[in-house]
Amino acid sequence: MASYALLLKLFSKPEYRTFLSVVMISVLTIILWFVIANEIGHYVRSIMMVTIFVAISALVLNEIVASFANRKRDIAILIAVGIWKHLIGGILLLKTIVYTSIGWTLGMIMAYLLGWLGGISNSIALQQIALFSVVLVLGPAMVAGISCLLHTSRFNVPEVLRQ
Amino acid sequence: MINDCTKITVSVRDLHKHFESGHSETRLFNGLNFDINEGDFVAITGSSGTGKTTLMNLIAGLDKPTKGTIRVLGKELSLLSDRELTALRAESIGILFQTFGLLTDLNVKENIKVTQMISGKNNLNGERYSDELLEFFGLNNKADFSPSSLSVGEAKKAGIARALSTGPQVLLLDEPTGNLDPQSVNVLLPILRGLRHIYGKTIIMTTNTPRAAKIANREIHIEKPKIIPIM
Repeated sequence: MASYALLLKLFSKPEYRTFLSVVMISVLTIILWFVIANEIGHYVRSIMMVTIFVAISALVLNEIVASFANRKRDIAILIAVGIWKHLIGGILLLKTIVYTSIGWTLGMIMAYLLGWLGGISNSIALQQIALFSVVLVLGPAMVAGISCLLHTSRFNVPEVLRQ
Repeated sequence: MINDCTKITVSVRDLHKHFESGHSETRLFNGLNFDINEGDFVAITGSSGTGKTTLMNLIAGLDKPTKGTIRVLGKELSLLSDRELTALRAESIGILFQTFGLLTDLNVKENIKVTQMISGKNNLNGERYSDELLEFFGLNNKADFSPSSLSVGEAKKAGIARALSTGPQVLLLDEPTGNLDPQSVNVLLPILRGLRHIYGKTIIMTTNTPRAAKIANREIHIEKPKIIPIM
């Protein structure tokens, strides 16, 4: 168990980019909350929800691609000494999902507090957000998962170690 | 006959590896053949660019030949799945990379621990073995140091200790004396010579240094590659 902690230590270290992604996901979740809670047209709401979904997916994708790029030497070494490459992909995916969930949770809490302070009916938004949140976390996670699979499958260890 | 086969640790037949770069194709090995027996200490020599590191990568299953077969511990690498190759490396092959291959975010001891964990040998015996290795290589006082704070010679020794930490059947050392000052070479060569006697498993080492090649009991020389222009 302690040795698995070493792998987590290696790959879960947050970077400045990760912090910015978490903040952006929080902000997008707050916007989503107000899009759902306010009386706006059906089409405008749909467009905004899709936009937010795409934006969060792009942030998640960027996070996973950057994780691979920044850690490619470590990944190459670990594959060379015998770690299964998809396990590393899994760890990076898990890291991305955890940070996405943190950003989303922070955004939810802040949106709820802002709504409460502004007198917006939170009960309707809470139910709808809970439903949409499944799509909001699982959707980008699937995008990240596919990206992980592509990156780990195409990973060229000798080329990375040569650099 | 069966006994003869089982004694062969690495077998290379009709090996070719081609690389395309720009308007030319580099053809390495040109049908190289050799067998390495269990317990052999082999030096692979040849000038720069002959493909020594590529050969190490091919034996470790990290790269694929353009033509030819490589058998390691009786297993033909081209027939193994990605997962089987990974398992073979974890359980039976130890590698020292030319650039040491140490994870800079972990200290020296953690580098050994994580390798043992990958091969499933991170039990109490593994812990004791890693302490013994650090002592053997004179690194017990540097166990908590980051690899980036080690000298080149110390990093090489840490890399060898890491490669040995899983008790592999085949130890691949890529330029263990490369980039070392003469004093560090003088320190490392007796250690490599000692490894041959103490470790007793198959050791394959690439080197450009004639002194290093002499400590091996066999030498395989790689000829210069052919460079063919592409029309």
